[in-house]
Amino acid sequence: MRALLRSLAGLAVLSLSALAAAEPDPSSLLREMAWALDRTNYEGVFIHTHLGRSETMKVVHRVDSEGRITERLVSIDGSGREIIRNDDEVRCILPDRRSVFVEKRNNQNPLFANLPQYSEKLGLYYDFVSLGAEKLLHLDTRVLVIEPRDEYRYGYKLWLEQSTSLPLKTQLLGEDGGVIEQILFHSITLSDEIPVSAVEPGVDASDFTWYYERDEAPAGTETRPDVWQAADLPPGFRLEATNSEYLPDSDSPTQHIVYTDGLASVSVFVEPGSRGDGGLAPGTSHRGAAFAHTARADEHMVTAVGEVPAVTVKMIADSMRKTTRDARR
Amino acid sequence: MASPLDFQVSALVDDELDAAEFELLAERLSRDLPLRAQYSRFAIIGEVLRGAPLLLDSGFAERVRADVSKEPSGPLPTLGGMQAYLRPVLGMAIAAAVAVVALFSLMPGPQMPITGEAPGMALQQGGPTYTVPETATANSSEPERLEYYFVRHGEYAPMARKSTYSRVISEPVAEDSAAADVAPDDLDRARRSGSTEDEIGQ
Repeated sequence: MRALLRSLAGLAVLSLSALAAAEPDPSSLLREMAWALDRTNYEGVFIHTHLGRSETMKVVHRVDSEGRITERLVSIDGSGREIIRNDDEVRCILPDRRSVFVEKRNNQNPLFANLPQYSEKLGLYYDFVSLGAEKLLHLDTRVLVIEPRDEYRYGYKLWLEQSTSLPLKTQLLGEDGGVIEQILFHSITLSDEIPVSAVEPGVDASDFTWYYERDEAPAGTETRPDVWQAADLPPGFRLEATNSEYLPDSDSPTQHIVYTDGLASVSVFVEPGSRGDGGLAPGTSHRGAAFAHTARADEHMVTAVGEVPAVTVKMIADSMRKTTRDARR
Repeated sequence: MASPLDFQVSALVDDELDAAEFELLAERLSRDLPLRAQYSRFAIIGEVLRGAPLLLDSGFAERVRADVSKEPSGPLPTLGGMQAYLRPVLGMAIAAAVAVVALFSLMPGPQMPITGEAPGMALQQGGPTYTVPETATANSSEPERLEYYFVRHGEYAPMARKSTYSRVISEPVAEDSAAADVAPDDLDRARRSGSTEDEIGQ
């Protein structure tokens, strides 16, 4: 942890040095944004607008003196739903379902070690354009546009507050640059310290049903899943990680395979059965700008999901093929 | 298309209702949860449009700069080496920034007990700030498979953390929760055209 903190401090030095420069390069801006989102104590209210809807959310991000992070996100539009995440677990409290879902966070999970990375290769698939300084709600921001070079990924427009690099406004852009979704902070307060009470739930869930993650396969069940891979990927997407997971109401392992181009990512879930235990049917669906496409293959249901255009999840899901176990990487 | 009620709520935000209208709308707000939510949105959007300043603490960066200057200094790596140096750091930063919504790796199946007692859970000081409405479902319900997928994926979407969060805890709406089958070409066409910035707000 000490080494990590030193490294983060080093990154902070780099970030602040970059801020001193006349116009930091886009990759520096992205690094600074990632650092700020992770290591800053802040509370804020933002409006998430998508497809004619808008949701108002409050977020509290707390970093304690040991570097441990707790984050609470709560809907303030009436549902009372909230998510609280710390280093050990993630809790989703759903008052309308009288349910709490708890997932233990496990740093040994192979997927955690293979998160998407920003790299120079991104320049092959996106154009990074710095639009300079702009006032946003009385604050100085740097505006960065990330434009996709093809139809397989979305673009982004970011307004990063100059002194902290926190994204005060984020837009998801369609192929022609039109705005698909937007997150706009209405207020954000930075603090040296945030009290623990600020990240505690506002709902008494003691009489709710609590659903806990199961971390072991059922006794006597298949523990060596088949190996799946995409035969056809959009340009720039590469295999990032694979993992076996045990989903609700299924004793068979589900393969979770992540493909990424460095910014956008697509998860593929492969479940045994011709329809899937969850009753999924082949076809394309969406939640806001995130798409899902389900296809049948080799007596399995294959579903690709991601915040990418529909054509991307369809290409990947339709090309998933089972390979021999010996071919597993 | 804005309804007459939308205009009434908007007028309330702008303090333009007369006493009788105010009384009627206040009574309705007291029993209409979605309308209260809409009022909340209008009120915040109104503040934004009126130019209410963000509450950003301008002294924060100075304090960070002072803190990091106390760290042991050493030669910084070159650009080529720096990327390797930053990679694990950035990875951790992004991991923490995005690993926030792995919520539904849950096993409520018949083969194994999946529910348990609620652990000791501290609440906001002064007790709950949200009261569960009586209309909440009487029986708890598990996540839908597609909901699980979206949420599970959100952990690995570095540019989509807050939007994934938001979609998960947004008040359920039939259009989204149903995630109805659509023709990919139609939706892609809609995405390509996007919205104008005016349509989506500031």
